[in-house]
Amino acid sequence: MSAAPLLQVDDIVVNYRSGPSAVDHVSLAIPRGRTLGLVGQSGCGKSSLARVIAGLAVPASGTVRLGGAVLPTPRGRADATRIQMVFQDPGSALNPMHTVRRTLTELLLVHRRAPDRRAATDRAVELLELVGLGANVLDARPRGLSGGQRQRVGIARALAVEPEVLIADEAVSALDVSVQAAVLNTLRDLGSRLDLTMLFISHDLAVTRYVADELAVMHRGEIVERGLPDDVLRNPQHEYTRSLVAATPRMDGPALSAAEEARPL
Amino acid sequence: MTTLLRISDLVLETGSAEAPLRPVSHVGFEVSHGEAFGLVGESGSGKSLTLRAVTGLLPEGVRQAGGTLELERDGVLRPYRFAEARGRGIGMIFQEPMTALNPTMRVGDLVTAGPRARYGWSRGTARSRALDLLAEVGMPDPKAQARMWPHQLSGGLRQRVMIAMALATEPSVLLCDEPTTALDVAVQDQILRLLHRIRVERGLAIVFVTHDLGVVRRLCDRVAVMYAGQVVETGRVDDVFTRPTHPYSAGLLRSMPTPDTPRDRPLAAIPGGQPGAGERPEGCRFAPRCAHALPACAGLEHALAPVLGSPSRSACLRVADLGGPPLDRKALIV
Repeated sequence: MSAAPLLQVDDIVVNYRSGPSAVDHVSLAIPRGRTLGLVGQSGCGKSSLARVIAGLAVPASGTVRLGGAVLPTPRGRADATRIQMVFQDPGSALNPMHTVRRTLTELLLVHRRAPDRRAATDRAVELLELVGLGANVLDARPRGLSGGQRQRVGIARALAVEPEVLIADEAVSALDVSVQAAVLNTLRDLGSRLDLTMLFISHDLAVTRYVADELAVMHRGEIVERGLPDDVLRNPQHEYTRSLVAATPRMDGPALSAAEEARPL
Repeated sequence: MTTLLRISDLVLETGSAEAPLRPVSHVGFEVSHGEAFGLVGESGSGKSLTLRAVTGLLPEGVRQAGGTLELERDGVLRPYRFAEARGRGIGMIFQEPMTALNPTMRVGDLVTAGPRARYGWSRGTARSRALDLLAEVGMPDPKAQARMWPHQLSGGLRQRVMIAMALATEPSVLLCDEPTTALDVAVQDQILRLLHRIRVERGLAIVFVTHDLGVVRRLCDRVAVMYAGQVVETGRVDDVFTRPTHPYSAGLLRSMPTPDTPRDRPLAAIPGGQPGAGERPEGCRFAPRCAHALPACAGLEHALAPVLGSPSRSACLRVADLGGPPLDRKALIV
């Protein structure tokens, strides 16, 4: 990873009204076309950090650079689409009244990614195919789609404006296991096909390890460990990471035993 | 071990009487005294509705259209009345502790509100019982927390309060509806260990409904896998997880990334999605997504049959072809 990173985040601090900093001097960098996995419990500050990177929140201090240049917050029109986010709840992130066609074509037209309605529809179908759906969902509203389909529409919407960086914030957490696997495959496939740079955020260590080229572990607003995914899982250095690895259920792992009963709760 | 709870042929219906939908059709399982039983399935499989039917807490618009629910008393299994069973026999904890806890009551009062009303405990008895229960579920400072309001507690502590509430009536079986889903991994692990400890100490049976196979692996002795309103496979956790006898269970196990999943190939996703209650195919409901399906699967009448060479029971017509040698999961890929 010697090339200059595409996304570089320096010394971000986010404070809320009370308590310690939600994000406490966090820096990270992602080379072009790579995926950084960010793991942590809810409340560790990972979503606050994601919102700052996406330009949806103003940090107390710190900078977000894309391709070397600092992105202002709030983002100007030119920069607004360069980093896109996919959210956890595909149900509430889509307008329930709008068909998939309207959701995608309006976005394409507003951001001038298509010259007219017809071209926009063609592009919408391309986007749907990219995420494993087809023209048959164009006239569906979110309620008429399954959870996995909705999340794919969410990904298609994020990709519609041709972002350089995609942030997936717990994007597969609400999905069923068999559906989650298919969406993870799609995300990985998109990463390599579109040379997308991704920040993949999740509380699930095993899922994040699978998609990420590099792993960062966040705890109480700080990055406490980072490294290659398998190194972090096999040989966690920080005490918090060790507890996270120990608590991750394994299919081949032991059931609860008498020995574990004795461990303090 | 003797049977404590028996569900047979449970049918749940919604919609009009003329054209009802059946989110749960002919589900049955037995739970022994002191056993941890997992009911696992994806959303829409009917697992939570099944659990709610057991306590008589079906949501509005869903009715029981068939089947029997029996609980052991004095050595005999007999149908029970819900109100009576909820008062002793059966305890229940839910996924969302915040919505299940009355926000206007202090924790100490919440824990014993049920038995106070039922058994007429005095204030003093209730207070000391509440402190005992809060200590049993591992509240760090029971005296202090008994005076707190639910909103002042973390998610993990709220879940402990709900467990204490369920234990207050001395149940013989604790029904758990995804109680750890909303929690962080580390807190989830604490709650699982707590449930395990309570189970061992009290000889309590647990029925654990979840979509999380890892949780079942960790906590449960036996498991039933539900798909589209039916049980498709049941057996000991050790068997089902190492030698699944239904392609759906096998597919679920393969699709879940673990710390050892190879990163250089796609995950083994199951194509398509689970059919809703109104769109279920004839015959085997998994057949349209199944790599092993034969024309005969579309005419299959659902039944759980014993599997040769395995203690599990399976609804798959092709189980004999899928079995392969023990521990050979690849045998499931034709």
